[in-house]
Amino acid sequence: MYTYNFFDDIMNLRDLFDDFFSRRTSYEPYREFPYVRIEEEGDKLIITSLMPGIKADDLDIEIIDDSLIISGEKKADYEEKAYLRKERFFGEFKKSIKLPFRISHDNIRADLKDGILTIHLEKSEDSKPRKIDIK
Amino acid sequence: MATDKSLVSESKSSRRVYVPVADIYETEDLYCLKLEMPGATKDSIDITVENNELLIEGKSVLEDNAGRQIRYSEFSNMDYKRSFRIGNDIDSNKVEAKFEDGVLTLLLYKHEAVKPKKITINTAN
Repeated sequence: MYTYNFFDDIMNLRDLFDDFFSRRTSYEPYREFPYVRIEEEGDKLIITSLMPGIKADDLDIEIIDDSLIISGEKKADYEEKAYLRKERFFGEFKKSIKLPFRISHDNIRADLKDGILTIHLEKSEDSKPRKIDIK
Repeated sequence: MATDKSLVSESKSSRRVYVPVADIYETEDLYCLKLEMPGATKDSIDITVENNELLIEGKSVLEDNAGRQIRYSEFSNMDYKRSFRIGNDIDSNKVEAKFEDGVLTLLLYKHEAVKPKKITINTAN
């Protein structure tokens, strides 16, 4: 449920000003790399992350308690050439995401395609809502 | 009750146009551009060369998220657009493009006429 909150409008206004004064060249870099999205669908949790230029072998995904940790290295593809522009970022990264509930360790699926990492997670049995019968 | 949810979720999920970051290098024969466009696909990218302008456009095709509720997001659904002014030295018929792991690599070849040419000196024996 959404309850109207006066401060949301203030925050929107603040974001508008921030965007205007600190316009970036891209989806970069006011958040820690990599950028993530968390979506919920019933008992499932879907995490999407932007990972351009990263190979599956250079990526590690771990679950510790109710946190998901994505770490890895984006390897530089620089060549010995005369560069006119270097805007891309390379290096090691690590990001920890706190999940809204504990998840089952059995049904985890991660796909990496076209620079997008998608992780499918499922609620663990003990965090699923349970109906209690009254005797 | 002021339930502006439809408005809020609409504005949050609206598409935004991003300028993809690029690396560019030059060699004797070509210019190479690498642009990061995560989520775009080979078919969603359009590359046009017209009147000394190279235009790159792309749409990110993320997994269908109808029926899902966004809990937290650091990015919006993206469209990509960036243009570069290019000189007369580029042969617009010879442009190669490759899309891999969300990175677009463009090779713009130079005209034969502008390539450096080595002149051999004939020695009179």
